[in-house]
Amino acid sequence: MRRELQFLGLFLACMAGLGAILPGVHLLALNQHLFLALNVLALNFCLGLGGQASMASGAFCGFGAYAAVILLERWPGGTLLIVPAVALAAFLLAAMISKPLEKLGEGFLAMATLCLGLIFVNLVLSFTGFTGGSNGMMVQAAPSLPLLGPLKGDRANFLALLGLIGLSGYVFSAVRHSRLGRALMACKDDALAASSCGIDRLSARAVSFGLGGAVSAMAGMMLANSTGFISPGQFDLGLSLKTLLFLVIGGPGRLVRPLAAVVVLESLIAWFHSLGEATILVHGLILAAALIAGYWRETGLPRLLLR
Amino acid sequence: MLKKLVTILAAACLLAGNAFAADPILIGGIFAESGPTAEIGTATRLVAEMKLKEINDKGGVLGRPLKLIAYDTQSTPEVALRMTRQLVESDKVLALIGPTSTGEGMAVKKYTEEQKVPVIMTVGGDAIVAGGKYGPFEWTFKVPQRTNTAVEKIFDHLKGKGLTKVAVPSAKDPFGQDGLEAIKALAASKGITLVAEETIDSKGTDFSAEAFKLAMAKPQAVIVWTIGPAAAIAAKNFAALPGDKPVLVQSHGIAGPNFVKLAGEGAEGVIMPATKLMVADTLPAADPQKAVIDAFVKNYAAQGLQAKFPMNTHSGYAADALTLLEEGLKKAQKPDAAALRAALENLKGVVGVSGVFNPTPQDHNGLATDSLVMVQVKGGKFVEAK
Repeated sequence: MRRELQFLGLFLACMAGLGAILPGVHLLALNQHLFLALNVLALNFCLGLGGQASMASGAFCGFGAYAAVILLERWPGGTLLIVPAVALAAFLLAAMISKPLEKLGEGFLAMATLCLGLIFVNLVLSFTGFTGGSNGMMVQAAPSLPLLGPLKGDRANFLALLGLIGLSGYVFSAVRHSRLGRALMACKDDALAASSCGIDRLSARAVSFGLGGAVSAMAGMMLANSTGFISPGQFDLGLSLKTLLFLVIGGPGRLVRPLAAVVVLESLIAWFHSLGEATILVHGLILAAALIAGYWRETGLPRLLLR
Repeated sequence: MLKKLVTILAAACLLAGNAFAADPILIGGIFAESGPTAEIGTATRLVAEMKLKEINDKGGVLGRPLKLIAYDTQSTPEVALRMTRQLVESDKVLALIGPTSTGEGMAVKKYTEEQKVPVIMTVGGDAIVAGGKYGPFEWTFKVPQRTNTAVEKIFDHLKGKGLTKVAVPSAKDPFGQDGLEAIKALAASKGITLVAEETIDSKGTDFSAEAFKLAMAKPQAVIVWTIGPAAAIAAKNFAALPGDKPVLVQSHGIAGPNFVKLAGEGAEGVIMPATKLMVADTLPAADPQKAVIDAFVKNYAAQGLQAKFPMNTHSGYAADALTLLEEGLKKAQKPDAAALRAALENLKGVVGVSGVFNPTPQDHNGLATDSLVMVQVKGGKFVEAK
């Protein structure tokens, strides 16, 4: 755990250093990458710890964003209550949903979580009075902290994101090295054997799924504050797939590699934005190369080839 | 003698060089050149470049050329915001044109309103300039007609034909919902009755069930409010209905060769509001837009754009954005953001490809129903609907 936290500390220190020197628009780009990194960390709770392939990252992210924006609009001074309340609500919602979904079995869980994403988008489109429907919502009030004031601007969002990644990373590492973490590892390796040993698989995975939901919700709150505008299209299946992709590239179960993968690859992809029609092709090639490199790293294929 | 000649030549070169030695006025462009809306965004950028060249060939504005710095938004709001900030903070542009979709526009709008940068948007959604819960629009302008304007045009046409009972299948996306809201809001005042409505998925592949359900309500006309392939699929489904079919009307975002190609026989007889670009050949000489549209069509073909992106009802938006910018700068008499903004919202009678613009401080679009014509598909071509 100590080594893992040291690497996390090093990653955060590098990000802090970058954030200190980057000008406005580049800091915004880094914030957008860190938002995705936080989402990847959230999915790591589900997949990396619990072995649950979830396509509901977008839905929980959107839940956090919309809940925070709607509540802060009505109670602008209630940040200290609203933010933890939304995170707790997401945790409870995710944990409650996880138990019945878990009974579907491995293959169907991903499909069921995909449905969660569709349900979320349709709910947002249906309750137009609260959510603005397909046109989205402008963020009217930023979260504000006592003594520090409103969380406005790139640097404030950047520090908040670093703080959340640090906190979530610590919780991830702590859970992994706890009794719950060992139970989750057993469920991940062989769910039937774990149940036979007396591990309450449904409850254990509900906790990891819930933690993932809560972290995704917090990521959503940060996205809303950073962008100033939210719409259902930002939290659709595309976000969930992208999150899953980067976690797979970085390695499910690893703490820092997926975070670093997001920042490095997204920065690389953003660097090629001026290629016009070739942009999508280059994106695809970069991600394919990263996936292959990740696979080789896990299987040790380069070492075998060299022999 | 030789000395005199050299002196005259040198002076001539100096003068010619000085004609455009002035710094260019920087204009930012944000277009989706990759991702789902790349086809629209790429065509928009090319039209913008074409119009820019036309303006610069005539001497630029205020004695300075315009320079377009364009970035790809990748069809996503987050990247659109990032590119906008790059243009404003790093490239120091005076004003912006674009982006391609309403979602990108809304993401950009909050920033540009805060930073007081004039933006002339080429997006379809009305939320951009609606105010209220969608935020202020002091620095935001919109080129495409408002949805209300298109709906009013449709209702006037239907009323003229004695068709007062309508049914509406509309998409769940911002464009579809804008249309449904406008139809519901204007129906009563125009003497139109909405007898049935259905929601369709703009990415759907078959709407036969919805078509049948709506037909059961016995509407005299069906107004389909969506864009892209879904509109063509809906046209095919309604054409396949048994018995007497209602008149099929499409939204103002459909008129173009793609719709005819995709809908096939289902397109025949369908009516829709469109910009006068779609009937350029038959516009009367007295039409105030005739000269501008003819020049645009000629230039569009000459630049090779017609072959790559066959002209449709949207083709002129980027050109109109730059026309408004040009006229705004001339009125403002200086390349200053605040002066440009004030000038833009007080322009009168600016003749564009999409209509004659008369923006006001309350209406940052400035197009009325006379900017649209009702067209009908006949023999695979668009003709003015009678």
